[in-house]
Amino acid sequence: MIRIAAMADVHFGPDAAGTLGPHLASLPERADILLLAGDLTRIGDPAEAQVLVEELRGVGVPIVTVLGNHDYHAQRVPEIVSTLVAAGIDVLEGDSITLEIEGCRLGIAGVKGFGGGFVGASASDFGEPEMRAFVQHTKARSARLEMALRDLEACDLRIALLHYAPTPDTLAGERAELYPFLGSYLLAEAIDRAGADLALHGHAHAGSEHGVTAGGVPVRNVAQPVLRRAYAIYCFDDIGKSAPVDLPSPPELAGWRYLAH
Amino acid sequence: MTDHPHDLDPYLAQHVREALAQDPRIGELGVDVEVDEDEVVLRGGVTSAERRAAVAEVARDLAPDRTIRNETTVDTFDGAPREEHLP
Ligand SMILES: [Fe+2]
Ligand SMILES: [Fe+2]
Repeated sequence: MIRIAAMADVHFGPDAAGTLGPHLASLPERADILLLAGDLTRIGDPAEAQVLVEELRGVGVPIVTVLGNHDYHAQRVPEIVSTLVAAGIDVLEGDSITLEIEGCRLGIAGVKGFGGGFVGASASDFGEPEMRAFVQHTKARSARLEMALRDLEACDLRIALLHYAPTPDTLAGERAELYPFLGSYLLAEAIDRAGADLALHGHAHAGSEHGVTAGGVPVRNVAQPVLRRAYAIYCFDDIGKSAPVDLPSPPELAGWRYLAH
Repeated sequence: MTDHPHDLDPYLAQHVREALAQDPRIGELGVDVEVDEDEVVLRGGVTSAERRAAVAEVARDLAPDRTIRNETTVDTFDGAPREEHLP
């Protein structure tokens, strides 16, 4: 059995010091690893990351994270990453990590992701350079996620760790007008094409915990305001390798180039 | 001419929201802001008491002639974590 603790959107800062640590005291008895799905800080100040690191210091399990949009706000991502890495926290962005837990190979592929919307109401890579850059960022991050998941094909259990949502299911509760800023179907498509056992994300504070991709991969929104708990635990009692979902390759996605009509 | 000088800015609610995102003490995107003739109502969860107080301060600065009703709450997540078993 592998037990995965997960949380997102702690939005930490000096004013939150001492509020998280007590909740994590029993975590090592409950889980084998802690995954953080981004928005670690309030405005992306490395001092905020430092306060969080102090709070996480006692957690006796490996910690793996992706960053969220808040962590980018101050444009000091390299310092945030160094602060986390210095504390032994693995930071993923378009890459993956494999850990040996209870004799099983657990693979985690991480990417921040981005917005754009979902099937039926989605931004296109068309028009002004600013619009195209927006959609191309999502395409690029999704492509990296797919590659990172494919690197984990030998693992017994594969987790996709994101900040933005891959499915609209886990946005239920948010205003529909905001969906294009909360996630993208391209992330789910990448997950389905490469295969995964679970996808975790945050970012949608008013969303819902449970969802599933079109290809059947369970999706969980672990934003703290959604969980109403410090973290959630996902247990895999019988670990088996998940086969990639056999999706046709749509021509507009070949090479991640899309020509709008 | 209007009898409601406070109505002059129909975009006030969004200006408050933007200010809540930009203020380095706050950095919140999820606070709900409702404006009427006399009041600004703030709703939603924030991370700390300091952030909650700063939210009201920002609204007061932008809407000095209105009453600020700060209904935001400080999020606390005290329950035991839920466990889910996946196949
Ligand atoms: Fe967040
Ligand atoms: Fe976010």
